[in-house]
Formats: sequence, structure tokens, C-alpha cells
Amino acid sequence: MKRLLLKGTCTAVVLSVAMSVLAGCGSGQNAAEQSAAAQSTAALETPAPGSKSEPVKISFMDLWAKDKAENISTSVREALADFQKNNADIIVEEEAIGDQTAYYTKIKTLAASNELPDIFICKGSELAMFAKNQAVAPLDEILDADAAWKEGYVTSAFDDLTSDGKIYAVPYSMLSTHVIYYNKKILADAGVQAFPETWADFKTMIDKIKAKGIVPIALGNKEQWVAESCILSTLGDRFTGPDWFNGIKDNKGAKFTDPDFIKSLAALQELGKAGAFNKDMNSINNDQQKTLYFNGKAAMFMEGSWAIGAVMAGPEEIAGNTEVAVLPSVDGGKGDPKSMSGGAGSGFASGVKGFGSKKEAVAKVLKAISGPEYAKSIAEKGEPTAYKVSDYDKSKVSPLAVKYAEMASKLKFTPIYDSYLNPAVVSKMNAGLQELLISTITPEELAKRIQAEYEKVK
Amino acid sequence: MKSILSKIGKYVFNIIMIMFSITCIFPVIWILYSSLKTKDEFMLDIISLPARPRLDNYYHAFVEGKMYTYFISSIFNSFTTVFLVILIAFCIGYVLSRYRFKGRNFIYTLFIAGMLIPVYALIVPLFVQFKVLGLYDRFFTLVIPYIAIRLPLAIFLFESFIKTVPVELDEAAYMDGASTFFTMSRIILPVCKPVLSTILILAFLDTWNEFPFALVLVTKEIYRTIPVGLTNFYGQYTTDYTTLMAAMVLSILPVIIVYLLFNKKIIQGMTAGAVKG
Amino acid sequence: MNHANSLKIKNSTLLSLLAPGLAIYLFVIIVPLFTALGYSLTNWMGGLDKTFIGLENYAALVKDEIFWSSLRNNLLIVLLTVIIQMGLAFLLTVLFMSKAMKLKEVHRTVIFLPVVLSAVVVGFIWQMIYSNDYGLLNAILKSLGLENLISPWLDDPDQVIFSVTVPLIWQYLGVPLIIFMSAVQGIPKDIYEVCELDGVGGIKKAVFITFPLIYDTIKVAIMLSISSNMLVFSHIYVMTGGGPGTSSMVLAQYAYNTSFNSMQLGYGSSIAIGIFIISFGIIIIFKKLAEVKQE
Repeated sequence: MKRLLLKGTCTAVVLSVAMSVLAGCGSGQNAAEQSAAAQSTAALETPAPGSKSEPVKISFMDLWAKDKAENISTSVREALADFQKNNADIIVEEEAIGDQTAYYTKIKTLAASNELPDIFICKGSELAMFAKNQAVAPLDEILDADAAWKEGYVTSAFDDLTSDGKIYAVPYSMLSTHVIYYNKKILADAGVQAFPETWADFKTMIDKIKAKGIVPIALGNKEQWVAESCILSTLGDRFTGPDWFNGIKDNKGAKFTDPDFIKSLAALQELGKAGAFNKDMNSINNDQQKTLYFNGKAAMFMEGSWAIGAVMAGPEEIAGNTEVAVLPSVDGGKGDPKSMSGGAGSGFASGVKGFGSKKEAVAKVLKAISGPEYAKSIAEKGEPTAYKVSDYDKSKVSPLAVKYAEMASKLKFTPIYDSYLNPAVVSKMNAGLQELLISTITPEELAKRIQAEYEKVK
Repeated sequence: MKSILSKIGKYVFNIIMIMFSITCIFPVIWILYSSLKTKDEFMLDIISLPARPRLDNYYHAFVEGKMYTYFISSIFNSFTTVFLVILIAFCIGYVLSRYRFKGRNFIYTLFIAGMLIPVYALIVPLFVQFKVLGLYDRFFTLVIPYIAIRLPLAIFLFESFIKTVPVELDEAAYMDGASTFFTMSRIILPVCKPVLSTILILAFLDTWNEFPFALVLVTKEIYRTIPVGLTNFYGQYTTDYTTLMAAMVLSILPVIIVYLLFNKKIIQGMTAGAVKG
Repeated sequence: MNHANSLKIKNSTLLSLLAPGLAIYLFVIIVPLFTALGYSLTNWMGGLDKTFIGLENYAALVKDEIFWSSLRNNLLIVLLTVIIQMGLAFLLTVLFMSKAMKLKEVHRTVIFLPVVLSAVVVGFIWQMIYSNDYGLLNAILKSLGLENLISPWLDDPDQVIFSVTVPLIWQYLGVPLIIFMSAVQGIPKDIYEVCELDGVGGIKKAVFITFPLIYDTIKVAIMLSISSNMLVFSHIYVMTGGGPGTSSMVLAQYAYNTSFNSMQLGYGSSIAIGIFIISFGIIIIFKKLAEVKQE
């Protein structure tokens, strides 16, 4: 009896192991062979080549909740619907996961098993990592094949999406991650007539607003990216200038422990110490920071250009009084105060597996969801485009979007930290900023910590 | 005098008990009635009862948020899983508690160890297995991991419960010539009612609320479960608290109903046991 | 162990009862666990190359401050839960036995109810309770005139771990309670009757009779609590995301972040295996200690 039982257990074990060994082998090269084999059998079954071919299926993943009434997602979905009407031979299968964390969890699982979708949205930093892992396909081939298409994009739009000189994604919008949205009425009540141009004036303004019993800057940094992406990326550049970041990015000797970067951390901590932010900044998120602003409990908040729509949808008396600005210059700073962190940020990338066999179809879809018509449609909604559009209907653009466009036209973009840095470095930096803001860590310690992680993953 | 004091003591004790229970349930009641308020009403005073209860938020969540599309798949997964978990875990729990054989302790430890594994560590390897074997994105896909991750606790509970059931019951049945299956299903299973209800409730709610596997192993909209569907919703309504609460109430309602249905069974089972004891 | 000897079972029957469960369990849990163990010996970053680096990840893990601070948080949660939740559940069990208590079914139903909520819902509710501006807790404190007790519950690194433990204790109080209560049902009534005749008081009865008689069940409940609290993740993730900094970070979240944010799948797997080994060790130590105490 014992023996029989053992045998049974063995069978179960062997069965499971066999299944997973099969799985293990398949994950690498064999999978490609298998799919090639599958394709060839499919080809054999098709009676005659050329006679009414099967439509190509393109898988498309995005992080926009279905029915989300947000400018970019609606335009992309409209463009896709149009595309489907005119291209019966291509079927785009969309999978939407409306939560960033969940979306990237799935994307990274797919990336690890080399099963990335044919087209998917991807941030610059993740993209660089996938590129290094050869999980995403360089798109230069299809872009170069259609020069008019490629040249249509704003030149700098590819910066965030390029790795080792190759383009890995096409941009669908240009955004700034740092815009100060402020309530001019609250500022006026506090005796501030114009938005400050120097760091000293900026701090005076903070004190004046605080004296009124109003939170100067609403901050919702629970998800940890807001302080880094929307504040430090610009504040850092004010101190260090772009050369330093290029040195970091290209591993050319720049360090996070360099005095200029430490100064920027110190400046951020100074704001925290001065009580510039709400006390619960680390336990509310970026949507809740806007709530604070909408309730008139805060004088300003810092977020990307994507928040324009949300502000316009907010309470009328707040939206009407909202102006936009960027951080002022700092003493001895090497950066250009006429700049803000920004770029394409994300783009549409293509998994290496699907790209290999469906190049043409992928190119067609990409063009449809990021090219001229799509760009025109988002431009008319007041979104900054990554594709050059000259004439479009400006009547529907919201006043705040006009103000933003006016400001943006005078500013340059500086790099968004989390578009370029390795995700491991970003997560060290982001967690550390929470501590920095509540002064449980010094700027020097944080700089050391980030540098250590940077050297580890270099 | 003494009896008056003890009577007062009784009242005080019961009042304290009631207050304790209210504290326990209040957050749940609070989310229930808050979901009937408007957003502005809620922001103004988060504790007060709704002035005029309204179901707008539910309409938002159920119809506009399309939550109903995810109910079917969640119900299918939960019911199938619960049924199979109970079946499989009872068989294994019975064998492990009644028979000593070589490898018995090993198998027991193997299952119990399953309660100590962080699920996210299994996601990538499991995804590869499912993909290669063609188990990815099918209607039955999620049931497979759901059964497996519910087994350890269910086996643990069955095993420790059956151990307390007098073995004389089995022996008497065998003397009468009953088969193993008959003894298990007709003699032992009915005695296991209280623990069965506990396992049923725990397995149901864990399956109903499961997230990581549902996120990664299926793609098609029709196979999506409520927790994954809700992420779409949360993403859009992060600060529309009252609508969020309505969505949450909708998502937990089925579990609460199942709980209230089988809750009685636990009590019955327990009192039955007490009478016998 | 001796009781089983008189029972006989056919090999084929035994096999057919065990095999389906074992097969599915091996396929979903054990095999991927070994794959993860394999990953943990490599420097895999999610790409094509996985270089075998032996135990290097584990060597790094031993020196990893965040790993240890997360472990400390887990242990704190386990300790608080065992003391407060188990203590409360035992106290309630004793009270439930008292004839003076009315509405027993209602109380039990109500106390168990939060168990069925999902982590997301519980996290959300408690976020609202702790919230600075709209928080239920602060509002209640204010109405009681206890303004000086108001504090940033989820923002103070020194107290955040306590703040996030309270919901866990609250939600799962019902689990040990029903486990204890069903054990108490098994205690023969006459034991208590004899006690009452001897004039043994309520507290003495609880300590000297109920406790030892359900001691084995308490052990079971504590082991379940240890295993679930060593893996706790979603509740805290919803409330604080592990912050401020890493002050409410727990092991499971650290493993998740490492694997799925930084995509260091090799190192992330070693953290997961580390959690498994440590939890296993704790359970074994607890079992040993609990047995010694009984003698």
C-alpha cells in the first residue's frame, strides 16, 4: 500500500514537473519556434495564399479606464474606431486597466515572460529597461520607412522614448510634469500681487499665506511620485542645470551627492519645515491634493499639465481664479528659470514578439493613434501635441489651457527624472522624499542613499 | 440588595457589550449610509446621516461604471472554487486525519507551508506555465489557482476538526460494512457542518476579493472579476468618495449575503455539537 | 495517532482521494515556488539573460536594511495582533459563556462581519477614519473635546505602524472568536457545573478551566494569525503605500516592489523565499515554545 501511494504521489509530482518543464522551455526560444510552427500549420491549412487572408490581430494595452472622459483617451479611442472602419484586415483588441500600479504589474509580468502586447503604453524609464532586456522592438525601421510621418513629430518628443540611440516608442502627447496652479484671489488676500520671481520672494509668499491659516501648497504624495516628478524634477534643475542630469543619465561622472543636487533637496526640505505643505501630504494622493485646492483650503498645488482638465471641471469660483506658473529662480542656480520638467513622458511601444511578425500592421495602427489626425483632435481639446499641427479649431480650448499654452511657449523642457532614471533608483528617491519632507532624513543622507542605489544598478 | 446590584451589573454589562459591537460594526454601517449621501453632503459633515437618502451613487456605480459586467465572472469563479475546494479539501483532510501512512506528514507540511508563500512570488512563473500550456485567458483559467491557494487553510481546518470527531463513528460504520466513501459522505461530512460553513465563507470571500491572479491571468473583458473591474472605477473616481463607497458596497454585498445565509448554519452546527457534548 | 490503526483503506481509494488535490496544488504552488527559488539564485532583471550568481542575493538580503525594518514591522504586527486580538477574542469567548449576556447571536454575527470585507474596502474605510480633514477619528475626538489627541495618524513615522495595525486587529477579530467559541462548545458542561457548586468565580473559571481546555485551539488560532500577518500587504498598501518613506513597509510589499517596480526579479524572489523561510521558522519556534509551556 505504501508503495502504491508513493507511486501515486510520484505520478502527481512527475506530472506537475513535466508540465512546468514544458512551460520553462517554452518561455525562451522554443516559444518562438512553436509559434512559427503554429503559423506554418496555419499556412498549410489555408487553401491558397493570397485568397482572402485572415485579419491580423493587434493586441493593445492601455491604462485608461473604459469610458474615461479624458481628452487623450477619448481621442485615441475615436482614432481606433475610425481605423477599424477603414481597415477590415486589422483587428485591434484593446485591454484597458485603469489603474497605473495594476497596469504596470501586468506589463512587467508580460515583459518578464517576453509576452508584451503588440502595442502598449509605456513610460520612458520602464521603456529603457525593456529595451535593455530586448523585450520591446526598436521602431526606427518603420519610422524611417515613412519619413513624412517621422518628421511630423516635434523633434524633442522622442527624447524620453529613445534608448542607446534607438527609438522604442512613438509619443502621443507632450506634457509638463511641473505646473503650479495657484488661486490668485488667495494670493491677493495674502498680499501677494504677482507670482514671485525669486526663491526668497517665494518663501515670503509661503509665510504670508500660512499666516492667513491657509495651506500654501497642497501636496498629495502618498503614491510617492508627485514630489519627485512634479516638484523635484524642476527644482533640481533650477540648482544643477541640465548638464548635471545628462551626466547622471549617461553615467558620465555626475553624482547625486554633488553639492548642487543636495542643495535642491535642502530647498525642498526647507519648504517642508516652513510648513508649506499640508500635514497629511504623505497619506493623500494627487487627486486628494486637488480636492484640498478646490475646497479653498490651499492656495496652490503642483502637478502636470494633465491637471488642466480637472481644474476646469472643479468648482467655478476656484477654476476662474486659477493661474499657472512655474518655480522661480534660485540663488546661484545653474539652471534656466525659464524651464519646466516635461517631455513626451510615455509613448506607444511594441512588444518584440508581435512586432517581428506584424510590423506593417503595427505601423499602421501606431500612425493612426499618434499621427496627424489624432494630434489635431487633441489639439482642439487644448492638449499639447507631440505631432506638429498647424491649423485647428481653437474655439473649444479652455481658458486655462490657453494660459498654459502661452506660458509653455516661453519655456523649455528639462528632463523628468522618472522618465530616465532606472525604476530602482526612482523608487529609492521617491520613498526618501517622503522622509525628507517630514525631516526624518537629511538631504545628505538621502543623496547618499540614492547614489548607492544608482551605483548598484548602473 | 445583592440581587438588585447584580441586576444593575447585568444591564451595565449588556450595555457595554452592545456598545462594543456597535464600535465593531460602525465603519461598515457608516460606509453604507454614506453611500446614500451626495458628494457635497458628505464633504460637509462625514458623520451625519443622509438628509434625503438617494440611490444616484448606485446608479453611477452599477450602470455607468458597468459593474454588472463583472458580476457574472466573479460569481462563476467563486461558486466553482468554493464547491471544488470543499470537495477536495474534505477528501484530503479526512485522509490526513484518519490514516497514518508513509509520506503523510510530508504531505501535511507541504499543504500547510502553502499558507506562508507570498502570492506575488508565484505570479511570473505561473504566468509562463499557463501561457505555454494554453491555459491563459480561458473561462476556467482562474478557478485553477483559486482552488490551489484556498486548499491549505481548508485542509488545515478540516484536518483539525475531523481529529476531534470520535473515531468510533468511523469504526462503527465500517463494522456495518460501509465503504470509505459512504462513511466520509454520510457519517463524517454531516458532523463537519460548522467547520464546513466556516471554510465555505472564508473560501468564498477570499475568492471573491482575489486580485493578482485575476489581473494577470485573464485578458478578455468577460473573464474579468469585480476587483479588477473596480480598478477602472477607482481610477476615475478617486475623490468622488460617495460613488466609490456605493461601488464598494455593491462589491461586498454578495459576500455579506453569503455570510448571513451561512452564518445561521454555523450557529446551528455549534449548538448541535453542544447538545451532543 | 493510535486511533487510526483500526481503520483500513484501499490504496486505490487513498490515492484517488489525494491525487487531484495534490496535482493542482503542485502545479499552482509548489512548482512555481521552485521556479522562484531558481530565480532567486540569479541576477534576473526581467530580460533574456539570467546569470547564476549563487547565494549572492541572499548575502545582500542579510545586509538589506529595508528587509530588516520591514521584518520588524511584520513582527510588531504579529505581536500586537496576538496580544490584543487573541486576548480580546478570549475575553469575549468567556463573556459569551455567561448567562447574563443577551443577544449572543447578534453580537457574534456583528463582530465577525468585517472579516468578509476586502482589503481594499477596509483600507479605504480606515483611510477615511484617519484622514486629517474629513477623518472620522479626528471628528469624534473634536466632539469629545479631546483636540489635543488629534495627530497625523498615517503621517507620523513613529506611530504609523500602530495606526495600520488597528484595522487588521479590528477586521479579523471574528476569526479567533469563532474558533475559540466552537472549541468552548466542545467542553463538557458538567465541568462548569461542578465548578459552580464549588463556588469557583468567573475569572478563575476562565483562567484555570477554559484556557487550558481550549489551549490547543488557541495555538491553532495564533498560528493562523502569524501566517496571515507575515504576508499582510494590501491593507497597508491602500492606506499608506508603505510610507512615509518605508516606515510602514512590510515584507510582502517589499518583495512586490522589488519584483514589480524595480523589476529586480532575482532579488525580489530571494526576498519572497526569505519571507517563506522566516515565517516557517517562526511557526516552528512557536510550536516548540507552546508545547514546552504546556508541560
